[in-house]
Amino acid sequence: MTASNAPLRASGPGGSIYDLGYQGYSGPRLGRAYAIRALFGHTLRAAYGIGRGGRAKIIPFGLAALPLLIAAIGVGIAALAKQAGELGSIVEESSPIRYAAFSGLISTFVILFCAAQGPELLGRDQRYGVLPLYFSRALARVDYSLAKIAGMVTALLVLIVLPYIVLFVGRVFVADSPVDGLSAELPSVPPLIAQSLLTAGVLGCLSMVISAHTPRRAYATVGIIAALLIPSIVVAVLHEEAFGGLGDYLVLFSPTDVLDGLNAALFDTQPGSPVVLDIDLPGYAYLAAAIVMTLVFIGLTVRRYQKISA
Amino acid sequence: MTDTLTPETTPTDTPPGWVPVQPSGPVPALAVEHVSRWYGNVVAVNDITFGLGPGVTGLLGPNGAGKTTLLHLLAGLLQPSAGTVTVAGERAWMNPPVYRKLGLVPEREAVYPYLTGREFVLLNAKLQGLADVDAAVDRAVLTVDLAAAAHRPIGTYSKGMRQRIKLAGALVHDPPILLLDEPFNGMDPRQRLHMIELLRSMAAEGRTILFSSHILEEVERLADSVLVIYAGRLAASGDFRSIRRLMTDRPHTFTVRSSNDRRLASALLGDPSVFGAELYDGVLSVRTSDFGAFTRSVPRVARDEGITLFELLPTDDSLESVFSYLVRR
Amino acid sequence: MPLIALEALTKRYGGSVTALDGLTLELEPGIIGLVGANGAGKSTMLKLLLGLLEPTSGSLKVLDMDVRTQGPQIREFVGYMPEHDCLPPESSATDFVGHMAQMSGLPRTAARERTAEVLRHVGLYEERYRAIGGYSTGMKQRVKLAQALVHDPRLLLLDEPTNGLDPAGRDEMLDLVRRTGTEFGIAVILASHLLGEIERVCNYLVAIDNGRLLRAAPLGTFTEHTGVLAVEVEEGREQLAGALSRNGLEVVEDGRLVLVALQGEGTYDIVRDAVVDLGLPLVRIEQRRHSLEDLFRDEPPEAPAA
Repeated sequence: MTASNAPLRASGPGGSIYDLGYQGYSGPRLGRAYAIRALFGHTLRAAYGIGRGGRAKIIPFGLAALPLLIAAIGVGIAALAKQAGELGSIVEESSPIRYAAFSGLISTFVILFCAAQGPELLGRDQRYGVLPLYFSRALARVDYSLAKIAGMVTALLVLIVLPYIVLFVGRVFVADSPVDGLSAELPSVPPLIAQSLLTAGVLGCLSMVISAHTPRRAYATVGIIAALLIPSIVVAVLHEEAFGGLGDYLVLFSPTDVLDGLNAALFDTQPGSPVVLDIDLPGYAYLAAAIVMTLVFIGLTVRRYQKISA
Repeated sequence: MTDTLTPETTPTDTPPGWVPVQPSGPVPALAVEHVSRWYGNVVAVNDITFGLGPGVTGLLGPNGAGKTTLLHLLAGLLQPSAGTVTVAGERAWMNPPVYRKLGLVPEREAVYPYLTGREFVLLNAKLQGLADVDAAVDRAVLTVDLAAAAHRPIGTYSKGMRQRIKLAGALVHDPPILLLDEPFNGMDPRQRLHMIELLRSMAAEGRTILFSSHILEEVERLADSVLVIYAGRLAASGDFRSIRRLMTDRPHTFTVRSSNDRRLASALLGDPSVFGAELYDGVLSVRTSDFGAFTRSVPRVARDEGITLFELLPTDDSLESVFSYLVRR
Repeated sequence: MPLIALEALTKRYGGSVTALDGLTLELEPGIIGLVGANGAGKSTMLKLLLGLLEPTSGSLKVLDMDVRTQGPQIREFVGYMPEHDCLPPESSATDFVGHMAQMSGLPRTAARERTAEVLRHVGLYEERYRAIGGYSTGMKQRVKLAQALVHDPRLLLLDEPTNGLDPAGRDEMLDLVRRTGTEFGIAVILASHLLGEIERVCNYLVAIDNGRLLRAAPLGTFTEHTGVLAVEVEEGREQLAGALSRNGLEVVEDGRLVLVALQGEGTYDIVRDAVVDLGLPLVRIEQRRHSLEDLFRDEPPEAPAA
């Protein structure tokens, strides 16, 4: 007695034939929200080269591994320092691997990740003409843009947060007791979260807006790096020119400096960039600039996909 | 592959444009003798021989069969790895004067979108070193019926217009030989009809035209004779109906509608030229392996039985059938 | 409820190019051929149906839903096979079509199952795990068709589905299209510039010329009998023409054919007898039909007065 989930075409006492012809689909159709979630998941996986074969994973995983390594080293230093007592705590104080300085340490990797993976996520669909296939489905154009942006930002968030978690957990357990450790490290958590979110937001959305405007990977990669480097150079050169007080606000147009200033404000530490140090704007200015930048980048990306012909 | 086409039997009607290559015959416009072209291990064109004269010939073959390579060899743009390509008696390769006699309309977009139509044709005219460029350009543009749009940049042209301006560029030096690679690509029906008319009239002026296509309905419309290429080899040449007659190993099938199909079927089965008759779904199909005898028998048998013939159709007499027989072996 | 209803639909690009000009039309489900005499009318029409373009004016309803306001709902039930390349070379057919199925709202398991089934129906079962970059043109066209079918649409829009295919591939694709329209029970709109294809596969035709509706009617009306009999003999054409004229028939020679004006059923027997008396080989007798091409000619083809 055989059975099949295909419908029965003919059946008699001696045997049965199943209909393998085309069947309609009468199952659930989950609509826009589901499609957006699916695209988001797809984008997040694509950012790490998952489902694309070995070669696609090298850059993203490589870039993600290095900050983890640094965090692990940081934990190692903390552990050793603990054992070395007095001297150790001096060493530890001056260790560059602290929450406050961490973003500066890994900034290169984060930027490289943006420059490398952003074009991957958006360039392919443009280059190979896949956009009409997306837009001819229940997905709206704006859904596409937002899902892709969310995927990239989340991918960056993972890159940034994982090392913090390693550092955090490591330091908790290195402390005299977990409870002590927790109470020592916990205050750092809110600024860490804020800083991660805003870094991922600003840099992720920047890489998206540039990748959205060109299908060619090389142009987008160079464009992203240029968009981060050039404003900061320009600001460094120009801010001393006599624009009066307004010259100071120029720094708010340079994403790297804004993030630097934000980091300094959140962790109450010295900024890495001399310009930011010089100008000394209040933390709120940087916060506002970061948020506005992110929104502008998102808006431009959405607009690009509203207008792109498909 | 060419074994089942009996080479001794020549087609009864020599279609215009078909000039077989003979050592002492008239000089054909285009002659290809034992030409091969390979790229490393890949043989694109494999020992092809034919000759062409005035008229329109269609070059057919599946994708990758070697049509474009052959056209480029004929245009003197590629060197044959073996054999010779001759244009009006002269070697095609490395012989710039021969380009005066040839016009090539390639398949890919070979135009600069920022040039106007007129400028593009002018460019071609100058490259050919013509004496009176303006007159030649005007004439070419007029021939392809683009005088109205000639001042606009080619980037604004539709696909059909682009094909036509490429043709104008290839015509400006009034070459007696035209080679076109997939000229009807993407053209709409009306544009196609115009282009067909244009090419026919040019052939009537005495030009030799060879065009490649894998869309058989276009070839059937336009070409007097065909060259069929498969896997780099010449599979058949000539008028496709004659080619079909030559395929004696494939029986012909006809469908018949008459005033009494069943009686006609049994009467036809009595005729020695018929070896199969089938009445299915209201249609009478008859198979024969002797085309000549059968075509004489059918009306005679019908008259003898007092049956009216409303329709007699050869079912596989189309270029499409011939082509599929040639390439599906 | 008609499948598609257009009213005074107009689309202009950039103020100068009018792709569609005041089209009014109602279409019932079937296999509908869409032909443009000149220019971009048919691609524009498909994109408007999908909501990929906004009409300049007029209204367009698909499955009784307005394209301007209910675009996403319409697209749930429409499948689109574009003319140009649209496949990422690094994905496999299974991955890509499965992803597209999810984009159309199919849950993950259903997407996977439907993908495998649809790839089998289009004839790509063996190669479905290979990267698309390595596929031949024919295989790529099948993937395009598969992604259009995977969510079981009620309407399928095909833009030049046999583009780039050689005659064998073209045959197979057209068979697939015909089966989709008849066996699978899906309404099909086939946009093509090849009239032969449309005559083979479609049962209804919409012809657009310079943005305006040229004709919209069942295919049969375009290929009606003309009242002219076409006779082909392998040799002796002129003799036959002479003999038929002497018998009182109106005769015109056209290439290899002898065209005879039909004057009732007796004409057939007169032709038959003339052929037998002259001992000529009769290759073809058929009543001439109009072809789609006649629609696009500037003047009608030569024929004797019928």
